[in-house]
Amino acid sequence: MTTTVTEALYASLGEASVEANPSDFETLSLRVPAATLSMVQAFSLGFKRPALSLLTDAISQSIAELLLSSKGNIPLVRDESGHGYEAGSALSILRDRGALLVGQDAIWEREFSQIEADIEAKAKDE
Amino acid sequence: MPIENVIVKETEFGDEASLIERYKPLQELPLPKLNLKMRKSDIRIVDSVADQAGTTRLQILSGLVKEVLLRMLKEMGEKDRHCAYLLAKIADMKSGHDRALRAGWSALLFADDKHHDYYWTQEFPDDDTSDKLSRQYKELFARLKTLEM
Repeated sequence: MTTTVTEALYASLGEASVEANPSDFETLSLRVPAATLSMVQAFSLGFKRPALSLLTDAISQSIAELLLSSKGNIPLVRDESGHGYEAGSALSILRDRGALLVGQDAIWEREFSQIEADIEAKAKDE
Repeated sequence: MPIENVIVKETEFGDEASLIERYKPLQELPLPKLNLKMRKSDIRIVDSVADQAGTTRLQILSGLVKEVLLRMLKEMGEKDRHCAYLLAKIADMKSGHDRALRAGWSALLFADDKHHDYYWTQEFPDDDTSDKLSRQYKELFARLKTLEM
């Protein structure tokens, strides 16, 4: 079952947020319109979440969906996954959804595809 | 031909915002800063896209943050529209949007002007005994009313 960002926020009304590994993250400072900052502050105060990390998971999720929205993003996913990724990141979400296979999973997938291709070729020959 | 001796009767005019005040850009000061914690590989993807698309990290992230906030607001609206309206109105008031401008988060939430106008004329309901308001709304209202406007 999919949990929406808002469901997670509602749940946080009565729970403490989960601490993550600090080395996985970097803090960026952006200049944004006042309306954007106000909404971040409203969500942050309303749901008692630090403004700094309020959007971290939602941005990972959003990048993952944008990546999945086009086959044209495959080269980007291939290149970037080679550099590694953190738990909860966009690439990690792609892996969880089965769109990205790494390590042994990738080896098995490649071998399985080869076997399938061999069987098909053999069937054509017969 | 120029006209001399003109009198403009002040008593015939109202007290609403002037056309200049109404259409003046909201942001004349430098844009405020937002500190954002992101996963390193997500930043790498954004940087790679920015590089290949010939734009900047800031440009991409600024759009992404706005989209994410709007999505959160709309998701919230599907579960509890009062909560979403409350957040939108408070964020709009804080950032200087007003009803006349029909802009900001509230305008993005409402499909038509009629609902938008109705909503802007309402006081924030904070009646604890109201059955129409969810427990989440009451909790949110209690927290957000402390936000400086």
